[in-house]
Amino acid sequence: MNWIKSFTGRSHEELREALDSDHARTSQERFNRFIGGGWIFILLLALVAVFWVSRPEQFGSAYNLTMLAVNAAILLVLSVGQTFVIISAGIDLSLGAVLVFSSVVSAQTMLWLSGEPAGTFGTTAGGWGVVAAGLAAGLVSGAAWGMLNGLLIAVARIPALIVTLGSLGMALGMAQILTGGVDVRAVPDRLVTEVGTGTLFGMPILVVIAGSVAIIAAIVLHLTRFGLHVFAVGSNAEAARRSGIRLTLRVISIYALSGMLAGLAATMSIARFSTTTINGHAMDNLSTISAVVLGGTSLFGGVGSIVGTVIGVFIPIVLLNGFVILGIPPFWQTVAMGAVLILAVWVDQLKRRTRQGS
Amino acid sequence: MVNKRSLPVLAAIATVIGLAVATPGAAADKTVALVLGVKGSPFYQALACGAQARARELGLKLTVSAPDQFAADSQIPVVNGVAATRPAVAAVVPTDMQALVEPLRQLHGRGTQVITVDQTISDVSFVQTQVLTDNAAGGRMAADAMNTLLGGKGKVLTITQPPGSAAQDAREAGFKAELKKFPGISYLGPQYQSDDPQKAAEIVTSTLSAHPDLAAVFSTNDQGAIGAITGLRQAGATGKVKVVAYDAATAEVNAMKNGSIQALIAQNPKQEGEAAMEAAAALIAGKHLGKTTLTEIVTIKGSDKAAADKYEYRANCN
Amino acid sequence: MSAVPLLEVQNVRRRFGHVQALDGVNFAVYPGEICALIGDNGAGKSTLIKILSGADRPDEGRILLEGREVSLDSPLSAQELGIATVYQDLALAPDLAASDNLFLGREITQSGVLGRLGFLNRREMRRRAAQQFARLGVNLRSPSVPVSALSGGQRQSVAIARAALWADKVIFMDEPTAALGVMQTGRVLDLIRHVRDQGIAVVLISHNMSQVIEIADRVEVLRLGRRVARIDRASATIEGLVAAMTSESALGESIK
Repeated sequence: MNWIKSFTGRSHEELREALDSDHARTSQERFNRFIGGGWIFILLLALVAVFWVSRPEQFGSAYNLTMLAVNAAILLVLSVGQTFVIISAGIDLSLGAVLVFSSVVSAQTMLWLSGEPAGTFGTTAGGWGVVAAGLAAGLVSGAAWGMLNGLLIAVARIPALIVTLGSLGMALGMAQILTGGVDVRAVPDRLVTEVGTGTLFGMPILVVIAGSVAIIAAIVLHLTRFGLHVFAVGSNAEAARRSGIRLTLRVISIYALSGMLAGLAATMSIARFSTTTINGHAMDNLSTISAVVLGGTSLFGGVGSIVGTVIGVFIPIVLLNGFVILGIPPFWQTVAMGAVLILAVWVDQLKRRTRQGS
Repeated sequence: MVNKRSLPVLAAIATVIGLAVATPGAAADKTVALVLGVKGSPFYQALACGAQARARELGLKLTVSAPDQFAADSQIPVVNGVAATRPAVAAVVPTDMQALVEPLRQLHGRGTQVITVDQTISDVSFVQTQVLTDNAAGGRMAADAMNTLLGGKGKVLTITQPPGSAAQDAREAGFKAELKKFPGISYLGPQYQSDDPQKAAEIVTSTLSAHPDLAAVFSTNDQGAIGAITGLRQAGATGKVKVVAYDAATAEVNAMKNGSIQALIAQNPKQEGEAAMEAAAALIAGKHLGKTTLTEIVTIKGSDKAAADKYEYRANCN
Repeated sequence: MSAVPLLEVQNVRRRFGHVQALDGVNFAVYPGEICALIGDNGAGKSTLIKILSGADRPDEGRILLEGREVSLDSPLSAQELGIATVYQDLALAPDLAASDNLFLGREITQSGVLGRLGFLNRREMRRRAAQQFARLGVNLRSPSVPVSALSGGQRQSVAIARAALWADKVIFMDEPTAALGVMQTGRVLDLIRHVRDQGIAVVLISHNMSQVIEIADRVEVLRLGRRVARIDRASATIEGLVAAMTSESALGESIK
C-alpha cells in the first residue's frame, strides 16, 4: 500500500483514519481532509481534461503529449533535488545557476576531449566516452556546489536562503568567466541525436531519464533510512541531532544530492538544446520551488512527496501549453500561474490546520 | 461536497473552461502563429501590433505568443505548443540560433511553413524566408552618424550584448568596420552587458574614469542606451559625451528629445510584423519567397522630432 | 534500596563565568526507583541533568555508573551507557509516525543487500513499537499518524517510550507533565511507574510538590549547587520539601 503513501504523503491507515475519525465530524471537515490529500492531482486532471476537450487533435495529439513530457523532464530532475532540500526544511536558490555552470564545465570538457577548437559551431564527433566524461564533469561540478552550500549551511550556520543566493551569483558568474559569456555551441552529435531527440520503446530518452530519477528518488525518500532522516531533519532538526543522526553530514549530503541532480539536468539540457544556455534557466530556481510547493511539500519541512513534485512540475507546463494552443494572450498565463500557486499554498495551510486541529 | 472552501478551485476551473470555449478553433488553412522573442518588450510589442493590423487586412487568423524570458529554454515550450496547433505558417523570433533549429525543424516537419523574424537560426534550409534588418548596415550607419557628431575625432566605446546574438554581433561588427574609415576616431572596443541597464551604467562610469576624454558611446540596443545615459548623468557628462543608440524605444526617443542621446538607429518593428504577415499570406497562396526579406533601418538625428515620433516603437497598438 | 547506586555523582563542581552552578554536589539514584530531583530556581538541577546526560562536562568531581567511574563525553556516549533524557521540549519529530520516532537514529533495516543500502523494515519497527507501547501500557489512538496529531500526553508518552527503549539504566525527565492537563498527567505518571517497574531508574525534575509526593520513591533536594537533603517517601511532606529547598535546616537526613 506504499503507493498511497508516496502519492499523498500519508499511509493508507492515516487516510482511512482521516476519513473515518471522529474528529472529521462535519462533511466539510471530511472534504478538507480529502482535498488535502489528492487535490493537486485532480487539478491537473481537470486542466488536461479541459484542454483536451477544447482542442482534441491539437492538445491530445501524440506529438503534443510527448512534448509536454520532454519539456517537463529537465525541470523535473531539478525539482526532485529541490524536493529533498525543502523536505529537510532548507531551500536551494542556486539550482538554475549550478545547472548553467555544470553545463559549461560539461560542454567544455567534451569539446576539449574531442579535440576541436573553441568557438566551433555545430556538433562534434565525440563518442560515448566523451559524453560520459562530460556527464561525469557535470555531476561532479554540480555536487561540488551542493557540498559548498551544505557546508556553509550546516557548519557556518548561515541561513540556506542567503547561502544559495550567494552560490547562485558565484556559479553564474564563474560560468560567464569560463566562457567569456559565449555559449559553447559545439557538442557531440551523439548526445544531441541519441539522447536529446532519441527514444527508447517510443518514449523520449530525456523522459526516461527524468522518470527513472523520479522513481529512484521516491524509493529512497520513502523507503530508506536516508529518506527518513531527510524528513526527520526537516521536522525537528534538534530531535534528529539528539537521536544520534550526524546532522552536518546529512545536510551536506542533501545539498550535494540536489547539486548533482542539477549536474545531470545540465547534461540533459545540452542534449536537448545542443548548446549551453548561459542566459537561460534564470527562473528555474523559482519554478522548482513552486513545483515542489504545488505538489504538497511544505516549505517548513518534514512533509512531502516526489509524486506531488511530478504533478507540480506538470501543472505550469500544461497551463502554458494549453494557453498557447488556445491562443490566450501571454500575460494571462502569468496571471493564471500566480493564482494557481497561491491556491496551492492556501490549500497547504488548510491541510495543516486540519491536522493540527485534531 | 460543494462548500466555501472548494469554491475557488471550481472558480479557477470554470475560468479556464470559459476562456477555452470563448476562443474557437481556427480554420487551419489561414492560421498564422507569431512567436515573439520575449514578453513585455516594446520592440516586440510594436512588431506584434504591426502584424496584427496587417493580418486583419489580409484576412489571416493570427495568434501571438511569447516566452517569459529571451532564452531558448523558455521559448521552446511555446514553440512546441504552437507546433501542436499545426498553423499554416509560423513566424518565429528565434532566441537562440542553434537551440531553436530542432524545434523549428519539427514545426516544419508537421506541415507548417516556417518564417524567422528579426533574428535567425544557423540552419535555414527549411525556412521559407527570413524577415530581417541588415544589422551590419545599421552598425555602419551608426558609425557614420558618430563620425558626423564627433567631427572626425575622439574616443568611442561600444556597449553591446555578449557575443552569441547574431543581430548584436553584426551591429558591432558593422560599426567597427566602418569606424576604420575614420582615422581620427579611436575605438575602445566593446563592453558587454546582458540587457542590464544597471550594468551598462557602471560600464560607462568606469570607462569615464579610465578615459576622461571619452567622446562618445554607441549602444547596440535600448537597454544599453538607457543604462549609458544613466551612467553619463551620474558622471555629469550628459551632452558632453555623445550617444548613438540602436532602436527607438519610448525611453530612447524621450532621451533624444531632451538631449541625452544625439542619434538613433531605428528599425521598423511594425514593418517587420507587416512583412512577416505579407510573407505568410504569400506562402499560403503558394508563392515562393526570397531567402531574406529586408526591412528598413533609418538614422534619426536629434533635431528630427517628427521622424522620432514616426519611428518610435509603440507598445500599444494605435 | 540496594547498596550500590546505579548512578552516583560525587563532589561535582561546575562554574560558568562568575556563577558557581554546582558547588560540590552529590547525588545518587538506585535501580528500580523513581527519584525526584527538586530545588529552587538556580539550585543547579538543569546543570546537573546536562552533565549527567552528556551534554556538558564537570570541572571537577566523579561520576560513577554501577560503581565504576565513567566519563560522559556526549549525549551519544551517555545513551550508549544506558542513560537517556526526556527534555521538556520533546525530542520528537512532529511529522513522523510514533514508530519512526521510536527508532530514529537506530532504525531497523531489511536484511541482506537491501539492508545495507539502507532500506527500512517498517513492519518490524511497527511491531516492536507496538510491543514497547504494550509493555508500558501506552495506548495510542492510532500508531501510524504523525505524532503532531496526537495529544500532548500521548506525545509525551511516545517520548518516554523512546527513552525507555534505548536506555536500560537511567532516564532523566525534565518536567514531563508541565504542559499537560489533569487526565493526561495521570496517564503519564502511570507510564513512569511502568518504566520503573521494568527496572529502569527514573530521575524526575519537578516543581510540582504534590506530584513529587505522589510518585517519587525518594527525593533529593538541591540548593545553591549542593545537595541539602535526602528524603524518603514515607517522611516527605510538602512543607518539608519546600523548607528543604529554601533553607539549610531540613526535616529528615541532611547530608552534605
